[in-house]
Amino acid sequence: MFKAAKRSLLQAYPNAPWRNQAQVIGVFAVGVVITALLASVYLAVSVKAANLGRETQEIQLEILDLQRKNANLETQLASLTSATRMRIRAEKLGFRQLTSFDLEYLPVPGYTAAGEAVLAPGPGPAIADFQQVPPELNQTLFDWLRQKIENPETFTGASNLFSLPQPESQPEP
Amino acid sequence: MNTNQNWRLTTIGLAFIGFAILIFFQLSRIQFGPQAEYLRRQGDIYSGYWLTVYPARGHIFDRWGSLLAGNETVYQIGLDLAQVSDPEGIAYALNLVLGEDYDRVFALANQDVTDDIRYSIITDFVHYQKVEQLDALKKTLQSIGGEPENQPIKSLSGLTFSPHLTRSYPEADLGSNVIGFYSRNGEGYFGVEEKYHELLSGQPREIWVSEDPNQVKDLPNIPPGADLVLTIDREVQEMLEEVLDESVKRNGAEAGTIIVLNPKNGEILGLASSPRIDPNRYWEYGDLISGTTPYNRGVSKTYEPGSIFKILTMAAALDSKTVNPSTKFVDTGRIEVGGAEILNWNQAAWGEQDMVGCMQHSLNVCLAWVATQMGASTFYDYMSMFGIGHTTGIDMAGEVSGRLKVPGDSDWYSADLGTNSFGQGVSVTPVQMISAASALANGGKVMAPHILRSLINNGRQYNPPPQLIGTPISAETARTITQMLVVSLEDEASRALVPGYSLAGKTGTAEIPTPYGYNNWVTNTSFVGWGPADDPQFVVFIWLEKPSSSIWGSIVAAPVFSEVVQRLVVLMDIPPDDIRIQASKP
Repeated sequence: MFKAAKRSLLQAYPNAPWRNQAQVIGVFAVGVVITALLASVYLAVSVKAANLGRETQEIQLEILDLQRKNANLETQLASLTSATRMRIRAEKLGFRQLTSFDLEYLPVPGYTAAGEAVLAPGPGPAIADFQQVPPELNQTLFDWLRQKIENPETFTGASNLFSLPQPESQPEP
Repeated sequence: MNTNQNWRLTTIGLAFIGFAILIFFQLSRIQFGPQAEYLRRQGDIYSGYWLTVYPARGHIFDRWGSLLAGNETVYQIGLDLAQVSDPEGIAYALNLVLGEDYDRVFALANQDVTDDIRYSIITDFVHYQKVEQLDALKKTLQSIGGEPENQPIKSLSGLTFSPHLTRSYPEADLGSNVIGFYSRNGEGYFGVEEKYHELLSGQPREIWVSEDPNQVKDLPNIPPGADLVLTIDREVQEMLEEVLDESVKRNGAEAGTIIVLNPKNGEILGLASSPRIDPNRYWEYGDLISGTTPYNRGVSKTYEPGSIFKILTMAAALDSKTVNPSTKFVDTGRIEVGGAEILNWNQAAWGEQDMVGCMQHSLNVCLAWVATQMGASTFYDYMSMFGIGHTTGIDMAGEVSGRLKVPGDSDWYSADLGTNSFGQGVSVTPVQMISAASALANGGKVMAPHILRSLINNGRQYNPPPQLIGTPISAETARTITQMLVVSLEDEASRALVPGYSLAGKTGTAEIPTPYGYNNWVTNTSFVGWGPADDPQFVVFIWLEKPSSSIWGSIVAAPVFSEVVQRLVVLMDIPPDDIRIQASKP
């Protein structure tokens, strides 16, 4: 039965030469489709990476802009509350300079005077620096595949694809 | 399939192959041809750029956290020459908004683009409000589209605004002698800005920024320069400057200096010196401070202190047991030391005096006698321990050391012992003098005078501990001399007194040396004092140069001390002695 089927198939090709052409075209078409698929995946990943890269650039510029705005606001606030301006405003509101003769001192048990400027925590363990943009955001598909092939132990699926690295230690409260 | 069809297919196939060969040929030509290097270079130019990231300069705060020096955004205005379409309009707009020279801007905007010239800087450090005006105009013209006819400005395309930070001093000239200034060429000058320039400026880094989004890297985390918290109290500083300016004017003085120091830890709470500049406009420095005038008299100018120096002589004599407060001295009005005749300030004889009387009446003859009793070696050893003749090491730029001639120096004579004992023939800076006096107010210990209270770097605040730099006298001597000076001020009914507060201090009137000898009618008047006497929390130094209202320190400088202390005790929350002592009892 098997031999009969084989013979029938072998006879079919010489009888219909277009079958050979269809086979060649079919194989070529499959190749084209696979290539197109790969190209489109590559293109999609590249476009996504490019978009993220552009967004990153924009965010970086925005950070710089915000830092400059913060600096401006700090200086403006300090200027508006400068000693000279505060004194002028106080005088306009009818206040006058206090002298030692105007004061009456009262002992207040347990009162603690306001402390001096503490603008940051004291010396302690260093805060681990961490990368702001994870490598996943500027990796191409091939970069990612290469990394996974070179370090197969990291091949743990897509769940941690975009996980941000964590700081090694937390700052002291 | 017939022959005709085969011929057609073959032709089409050959055409495709020929086209592919042409593409390959063109690719090869571009890749390896003579222009390949040029194209590669162009590609490199546009693939990214080197960016020097300058960390923001660290802030400077007063001890309570008030900002004394910060940063603000300014803009560099430039031209992307390839984009410029209306050079006349750009020149007109910049002339109108910024007052820039029309012809200069037009010449810059009208340049041809070459490989070397693509961008021109027109001006820098432009305030953001001006840039907002220009930017709004540029956007309006862009939104209109085309080039409007009959308008002086048709387009501002090509005009670029590049923001960057510059130094800003929100308190203007307040504390400017202490802070110094940061110039636009990136250097710190004078005061803290110069002394801590490296710390404040951080480490700039050059990084490659790719224009290719696939190559985008996160900007490296470049920490800003360290922030500094000074020991200065803004309110005290403002008060000192106000009192100084008023007293210089009232007394017709040439200049003045006032310093307030905490003797327990050496912190400078305020340092006012004249003249002052607004560091936001530091380029006017030459107009206000000319010739050899120092930027900060407090650390950079020496003078002969006169009678305030007697406190050190007397402290040394008490500590070395040469005299005690009740030691008697008969003042005949003159004494000879090393062949030189020394007279009292009024050239009179004051008869029998104890050491309190000598200090109260500021008797040169008595102090010269005390110094001779002590001996040159002991006297100069003590002066050296007080820091006279040495820099204090205060953390402000430009400190000078003054001069104390000692036995063995080629220009030292035996007569110098007598004159040095009352502050003549010796030069000190104000900060040296107050530092030496602080030993008398702090149980005999001299703490290093300093201006930096804390340093904030990488998000951490570091508080350098106070440094003890010497103990020239014992605590008992310090108490004794303080008590002597309290009594002498009170018995004299000095103008330095403040009701309710026990204060110790001494006036000084110093003739000014000239190449032809001492000038009797032009003096330096000073006062150094501290309080409350039983638990000193401040030392105040006053120096008014060449006052015209009077030549005497007791008339010129003592009232200024009183005024400063009256306002200082309010700012420092120091109640009158009776209340303070009552409150301290359990």
